[in-house]
This record gives sequence, C-alpha cells and structure tokens, in this order.
Amino acid sequence: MERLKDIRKKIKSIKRTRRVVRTLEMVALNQLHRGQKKLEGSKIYSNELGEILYILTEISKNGISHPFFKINSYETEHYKNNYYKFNNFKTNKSKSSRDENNVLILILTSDRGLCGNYNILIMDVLSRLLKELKDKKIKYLVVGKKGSALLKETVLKEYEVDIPKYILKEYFNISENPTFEHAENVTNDIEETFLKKEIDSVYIIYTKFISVLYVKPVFFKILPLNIELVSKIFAEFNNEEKDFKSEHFRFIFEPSVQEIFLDLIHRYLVSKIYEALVESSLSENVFRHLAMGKASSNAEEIINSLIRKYNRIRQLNITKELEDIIKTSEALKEAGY
Amino acid sequence: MNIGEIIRVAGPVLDIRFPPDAIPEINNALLIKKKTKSIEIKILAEVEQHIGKNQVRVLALSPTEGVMRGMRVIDVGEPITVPVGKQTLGRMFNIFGEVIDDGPHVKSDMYWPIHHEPPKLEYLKPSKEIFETGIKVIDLLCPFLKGGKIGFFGGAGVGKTLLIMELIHNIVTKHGGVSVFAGIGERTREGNELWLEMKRSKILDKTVLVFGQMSETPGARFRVGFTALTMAEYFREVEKKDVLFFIDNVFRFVQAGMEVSTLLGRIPSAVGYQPTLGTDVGELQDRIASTINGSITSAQAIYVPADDLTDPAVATIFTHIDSSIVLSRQIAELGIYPAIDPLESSSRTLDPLFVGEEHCNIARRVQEILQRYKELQDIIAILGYEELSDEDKLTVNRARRVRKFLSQPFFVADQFTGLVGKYIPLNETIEGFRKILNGELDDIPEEQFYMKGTIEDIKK
Repeated sequence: MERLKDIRKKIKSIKRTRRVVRTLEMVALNQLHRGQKKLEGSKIYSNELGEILYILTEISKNGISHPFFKINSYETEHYKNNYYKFNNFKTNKSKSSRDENNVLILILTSDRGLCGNYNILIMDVLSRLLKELKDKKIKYLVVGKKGSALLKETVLKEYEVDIPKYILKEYFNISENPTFEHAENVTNDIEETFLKKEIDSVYIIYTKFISVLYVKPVFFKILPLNIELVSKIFAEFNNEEKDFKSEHFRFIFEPSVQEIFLDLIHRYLVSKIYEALVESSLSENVFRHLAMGKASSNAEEIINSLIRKYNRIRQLNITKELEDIIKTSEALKEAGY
Repeated sequence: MNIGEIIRVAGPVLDIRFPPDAIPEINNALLIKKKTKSIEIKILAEVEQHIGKNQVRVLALSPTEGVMRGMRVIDVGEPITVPVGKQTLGRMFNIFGEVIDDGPHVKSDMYWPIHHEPPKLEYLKPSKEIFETGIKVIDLLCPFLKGGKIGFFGGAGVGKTLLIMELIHNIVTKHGGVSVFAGIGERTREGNELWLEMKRSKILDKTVLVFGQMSETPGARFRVGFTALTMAEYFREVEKKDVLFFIDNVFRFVQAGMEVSTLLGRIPSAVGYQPTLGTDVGELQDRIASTINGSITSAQAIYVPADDLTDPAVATIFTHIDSSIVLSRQIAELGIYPAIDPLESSSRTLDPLFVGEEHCNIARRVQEILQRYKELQDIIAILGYEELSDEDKLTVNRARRVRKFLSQPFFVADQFTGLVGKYIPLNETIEGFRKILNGELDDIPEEQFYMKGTIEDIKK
C-alpha cells in the first residue's frame, strides 16, 4: 500500500499535466477557428484563378504549351478519378509508369507532437503510395520535423548515411502557421527540380480538411499537370453553367495568352500547395484538439481513481487508529489500570 | 516433582498456582493429565509469565477443551524437548517432536530443549559465497549468500509457497547437506503435497519436516518454529553440516503470538499486534544463524496482510532478512510468474564485493530501466505511447522485454503452466539481460521473451 504522501504528490503532478493538456486543447481550438477563415479566403482565390485558367483554355484550345503539362487522355481519367477517390488508387502500371521514373513526394506533416496519430496516418498513406510506385526512384520534400524524423526512421532507415540524397529539402516551422510565402518557396523548389528534369512527376501527401469532425490524409499528383483536368475540375466545382463564349467573357489579352498562362500556372500551383498547407495545419489542430481532449479526460480518470484510493487509505488508517485506541483502552480496563 | 493447581482458564491461556517454593521457571513445560471414563486429557503447556501471588501464566500447546479449575498440573522441570539426530531425517514431526507420518516412533539418544540462547557473537561466521538458485530474477536482483536469510514477502495467492517449493526443488537436490522444513500455520494440504513431492524427487531422506498447521492451537503455531529450528541446530552444531532451513510462513508465527498476547494480559500495540512483537521475531530469527561449526541458510515465506508492506509484523521481519523478495499482485495480474517486484525487492548482497562488477552493473541497469518505464507509464496513460521521445520509446520497449524475460517456467508448476521448468545458470542470466539492455534483441517480438529460460530458448 502506498503512503498517503506519495499519492498526494502523484495527484499533484498529474493535475499539472492536465492543466498543460487543457491549455493545448484550447489553443488548438482557437487556431482551428483562425485557420478556417484562412482556408475560406484561399478557396475564393483559387476558384477565381481556376475560372481564369478555364477561360484561357477554352479560348485558346491547343494553342498553349507548358513544360508542366502533358496531354494524355488516360492520365486525365486517372487523375480525375484519383482526385475524388484518393484511396482507390488503381493504376495500370504499364501505362502510367511509362516515363515517370523519378518521382518526388512532398509530405506535409507537423513540427510538434501531441497531436495523436496525425503524422502516423500520413506515413500510412505514404507507404500505400510507395507500394503503387514500386521500382521507381523516389525523392522527398518534407514539411515538418515530425514527418522528417518518421521518414528517416521508417522508410529511409536502411539507407542511413545516404539520407540527404533522398530528402532534397526539409521545411521546418511552417506547419503551425503557413503563409503564402512559404507556399511560394516550396513551389519554386519543386518547379526548379522539375524543370531541371531531375524528376518526372510530383506527388503531394497531406491531410485533407473536410470538416472539423472529419479529416483524412490523402495523396495526389500535382505534376505533370493536365490542362483538361484543371478545367474539368474547375467546371465540376462550379455548379452554375456559364457560357464562356458569351460577350461577357470576351477578353483582350496583353501581352499574350501564352505569357499570362505561364504566370497563372505558377500561381495555380502555389495556391494548390498553399491550400494543402493550410488544410494540413487545420487537420493538425483537429487532431491535436482531439488528442488533448482525450488526454485530459485520461488525466481526469487517473486523478479520480487516485483520489478514491487516497480517501480509502485515509479512511482505513483512521479506522485502524480508532481500533487501536479502543482495543488498548479495553485491555487497560481489564487489567485494572 | 512440583505440582500446581489450575485457577483460571481463558482459552489457550491458563493461570496456575504453585507452592511458594516450587514455582516453575519461564519456558518450562507443564503437563496436565486426566483420565476419566469419557475423556482423556493430556496437555502440554509452557510457562510464559510469573504473575505474582505464587501464580504462573501458561500457554497451552494443545486444545484446552475439558480443562477445569482445580486440576493438577505437573512441572516437567525443563522446556519441551524434541528428538534430534540422524534418526529424524526423512520423518515428519509435530511441535512436541512426535512423528505424524504414521511411521514408527523415533528413538533418539538425544533430546534437546526447544528454547535456548542464540549463538554468541564470537561464534558467528559470515560467508561470502553466493548461493545460486537457478531462478533468474532472484539470482540477478536479489542474490543471497550461503548462510544468509532470504524472505519471500507477498499477499495472499501471489505464489510464495510455490517459490519456496521451487527453491527446494532447485537447491536441495544439488545441496550436499540436510534440509529442515517448518510449516507454520499454513494449509495442511500443502504439507502433504510437499511430503509427496519430496518423496517423488528422492530428497526426503535428507529432509526433516515439522508442521504446526492452521488447524492447530495458537500455542502450537507459536512454538513449532523452535522445534524445527532445534532440529536444524543439531545438524549445524554437532554434525557440523550446512543446513537449509525453510519456513512457511513466518507471519503465522507472529499471528499466533498476537492471538494469545491479550489473553496473556499484554496491552495490544499498533494494529493489534503484541507489544512484544520485536522480541518474539528476534527470538526466532536470532537463532537462525551460521556459526563456525556450520551454516543455516534459510528461506522464509512471509505473508503480507492486505498487501501492505508497512504492516508492523512485516516491517519487523524485514529487518532480519538479507535478501528481501517482494511478490507483487500487479505483476501477478500481468501473468508474470514468479511475480517478483524487481523494484521493491532488494538484497544487501547486490554489491560488487559479493557478486562482482558486471553482475552488479547489469542488475542496477535492469532496475533503472524498469524504474524509468514505471515513471513513463503515467505519460503513456495520459498522452499515449506515440508522444514519447524516441529515446523513451526505446526504453519502454526494452523495459517491456526485460519485464517479460524476468518470468520463467517452474519445475513445481508444470501442471499449471504446461511448461517444463528451467534451471538457468547465473552467467547465462546475466548474459541474457545484458543483451536485452544493449539492444541486441530489439527486433525480437516482445511475446517471445515470456516464460523463457535463456536467450537460446528465445532464438529457437
């Protein structure tokens, strides 16, 4: 049986932990609210961007080219399916693996722990993706300290000294509060390696924020882009039918459609990555909020059971002492003192 | 022959008046004998106190039904004497030295009184020789010396008796000398099982069994330990042998003393124990000693009431024990047997002086890693395993392996576990734990370490 003092000390220490955990829970909730506003803003932006892109493609069919694009009907279908059914990623290897032997995977994770199995789930998605990309040379870009550590101790464990060769770049201190500049940096790095032809395709793994109650780690391919797809996705997101051939959409482009297009594509990528960063950050907070909520109720439970134990032992001690006093006084009486 | 008269009967405690010039000495045996048509009474009692007015207060060692005031009491003139010598080997006795195994009466040329002084200081002889038990957790964390005392502390049903039995199995078979077993206040069934087990493993003819089980009077349970001890002392002093002395259970001895203490007119002390608790335990434990003639190595089971190690009786016995092995309910609940708590258990022998640098080092590291794991358990319970740092995760993984590896199958428990028992030499025990601690076995699944003997058993 433990001593009362020890139990009291333990209760105190767990109460301290609970306080920390509760604070973290609150902070996560607060950041969740702020992040949601950010996401709404970026959605409007990317919608507008998509609309302009769509108009451009509608107006100048086949008249534009860009190294990020690849027109291929199969890829289109594949990409589209993939976008909606992230988990039923079934590729026909002979087709898709044609000339994409060097793959870059961008993984968005958190810098800090205490967010349940958020990062672990991302790693699960990664291992699923890696199964799909068997026999390919894979390099990584990692956002978040936790993801970098996990990657090194799981997937890359066998390479040990060669790890820097596989992780092209790591970005820390972004995941908490991602900004547009961060997204731009990441995009620039991707574009650079892509244009140097070091890699043939780019996948992104992040945690999709669907609602405060439902987030899901997913992957999809961001490069090479597919022009039809971009417009199709936009068309499907945009419910109302718009007649782009109408007067209203008759623009004059200056200097030229091609140049505007080049700029817009970059912006489009940045906005996609920014969205992914923001959603990841939101999801991280969802996980943290849940994990900390669970932790604080765990702590509560332990405290309660300790208090019960404490009271029981205390009561038992009192009973014992009373018993001793009564017994002794009875014995003394009998002995005639 | 001095004759007295009973003037008061209170359960097992009697007051007897003697003539003024014939008062018996403390510890003398008194005989109460009466034969009528319907009953035959023959009771041995022991003088405990002189209470004045020519009266003595005595403790009856047999049931006192039928005893009346005015009955005649004979002073035997000396304490209870029991037969000692080679004739006692292979036999089973009660507190009076009478055989209870249905065999022929023991005729010995020597009878020794069960009460006498403990050996003098100058005759005591400490030893430095480690006693290997073949039980991993004991050999590693609580080694004990030849001539030392090892205590098994544990609540009800955590495996004290089984551990004693395994110890008997493992060391008596290899031990050259004789063994004496004292069964105090435990189940009669267990005595029977022990007797049969010893017969089966052919160690009975080197063993003396003495029982005063729970069905007997408090007086008998209070004194039966001395009977067994006297028989063991003969082998030590006269035959100059190394003796193994087993007691199951010392707490029952204290409990018997407590049952009669108030009746003897003493004022109860904390938790109702006798005020003479320290003296009572000391009288018994002080005689379990190793002298220049020979050694008595004792293994004692100590019941811990309500799993409370701070209980006065347990705390008092604790001070006499060299190597305290604490059995814990939490560990038994995890299914790890022997359910020895590696953090509560300790031994004064775990010192480089006795066991050498490496053993001491490994044992300390095992305790450290388990201690760290215990501290981390709160964090795991609140935040979950994933939130631990990589270093802590490694600690937890290894600690869990260590904990599992501390279990082992017992020879005497094969009918419970379905596994054949294992005797693990000390060097293999140390080597096994060294490998786990150094992370050489990190990739072997945790379950593989459960109920295994050596590392070779795991790799198989």
